[in-house]
Amino acid sequence: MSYTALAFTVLFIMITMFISYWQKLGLEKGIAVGTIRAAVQLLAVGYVLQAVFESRSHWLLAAIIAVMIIVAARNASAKGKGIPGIFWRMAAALLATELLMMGILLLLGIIEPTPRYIIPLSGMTIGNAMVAGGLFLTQLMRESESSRGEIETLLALGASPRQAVQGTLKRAVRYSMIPTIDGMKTVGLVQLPGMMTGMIIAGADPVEAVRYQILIVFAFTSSAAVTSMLLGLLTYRKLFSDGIGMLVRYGGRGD
Amino acid sequence: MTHILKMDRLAKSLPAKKADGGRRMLFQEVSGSVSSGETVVVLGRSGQGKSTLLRILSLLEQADSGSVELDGKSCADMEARLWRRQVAYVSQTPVMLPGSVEANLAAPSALHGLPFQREQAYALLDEAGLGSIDPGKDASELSGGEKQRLSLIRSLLLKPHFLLLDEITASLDPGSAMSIEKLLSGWRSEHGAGMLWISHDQEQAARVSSRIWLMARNTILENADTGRFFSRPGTPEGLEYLGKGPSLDEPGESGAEES
Repeated sequence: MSYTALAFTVLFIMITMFISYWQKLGLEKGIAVGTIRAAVQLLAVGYVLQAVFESRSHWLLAAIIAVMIIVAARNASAKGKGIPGIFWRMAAALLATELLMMGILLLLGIIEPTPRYIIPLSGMTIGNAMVAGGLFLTQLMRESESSRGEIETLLALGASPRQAVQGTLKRAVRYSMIPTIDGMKTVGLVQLPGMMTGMIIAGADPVEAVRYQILIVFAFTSSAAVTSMLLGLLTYRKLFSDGIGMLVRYGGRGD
Repeated sequence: MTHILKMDRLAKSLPAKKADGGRRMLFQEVSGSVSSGETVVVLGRSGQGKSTLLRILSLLEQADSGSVELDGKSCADMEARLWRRQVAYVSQTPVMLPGSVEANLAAPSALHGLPFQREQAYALLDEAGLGSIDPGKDASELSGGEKQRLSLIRSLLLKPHFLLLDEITASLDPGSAMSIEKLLSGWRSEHGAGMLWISHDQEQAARVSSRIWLMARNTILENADTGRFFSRPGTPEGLEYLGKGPSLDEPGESGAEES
């Protein structure tokens, strides 16, 4: 696609702007900022990827994945505001997920050990794990308030903190996986996934594209599950005060 | 063996309602003790912190200062879950755990990896007037009064040294309340448990307790034998609480006919 052709796609933005202005949605500023950011970020990433593919430096590859994890962890950990050390816990969960995914893909020889495969697949894995982790935290905060009675009842019956939050954690993990599982059920029928579409447009054989998409869908499922579960194990203690194992309130009424 | 649950100079404040960031004192200088086989009823107007006191004793909340001890051992030196097995708190609003009636009854043993003593559980259920309940029924479908009784029995099955009872007969009809009183008095003589019982029912308090703590003026204002408290409360607040008015000079009569 030429840059002239690319420039014409600004038309889509103008349509959105027009609707926003016409319907007084007040989104013009957000759209403008979003447009510029999306364009600049994506173009920059394109050039960075080009450079990485050429340099074949492992350090550069590691640095890029580190940046992905840091940005994703910052984004997702905002959902767990107030929980001490949540950024590091989220980053640890994402890193462990990434290592596990790439470990399996590379050790079994499913993908080639080149940046061309590792970077996009890492990005998608970390991105999906970030969404799952964010949903997990959102639900955990909500559940730890709404299931307060259940948790305290279990504590009063002599449950350990782990036993007391077992049900709450389970519900939060389940919640965080809903989009991934729903996506898995409808993939190909409702929407053609972005990666597959991209490969087909770029000239790949559709069946070849589908094979990679299946890999992605399966990897997403386990990355979401692994991230949520790890995060649960890393955060549940923070729901309790250190001294006497009493339930802490985050964001709720102060007491 | 006789056990003693002791609290020494507990104080608790809450965040003030106004947004000035200040704190409102709930109570202070709260000291007292309960021994095995003893039932102490805590009386007092709403908002004196009676429930908070029980929650502090079950380590669900933290006091600002003061100490709590079980047989001379501070709660700070004991794992919370071990403490709570011995000092069991039954909350005013019963919470059913997900699952059936039986799952709720079996929860304490399941949590502690012990065999479920089914016979004992059902005998208690029977005694509490819940004998006709289907054990497979989803516990969340029980009525309020049924939940309250089930939650009490669930805590009894922990076989704690002390029971902290927060208005556990509040949503029961008088007959059911009586059978609970009977059940608890039987339990106390059989297992020697000590009880700290919040009640707003003066007749009940007179029936079940050997001692009364009156919470007023932000502390335990009176700590008296039940008979003495109801006949000759030692403070104007005590007289007022019993509805006798500070100026009335009632001769030594039981407070049981008061309401």
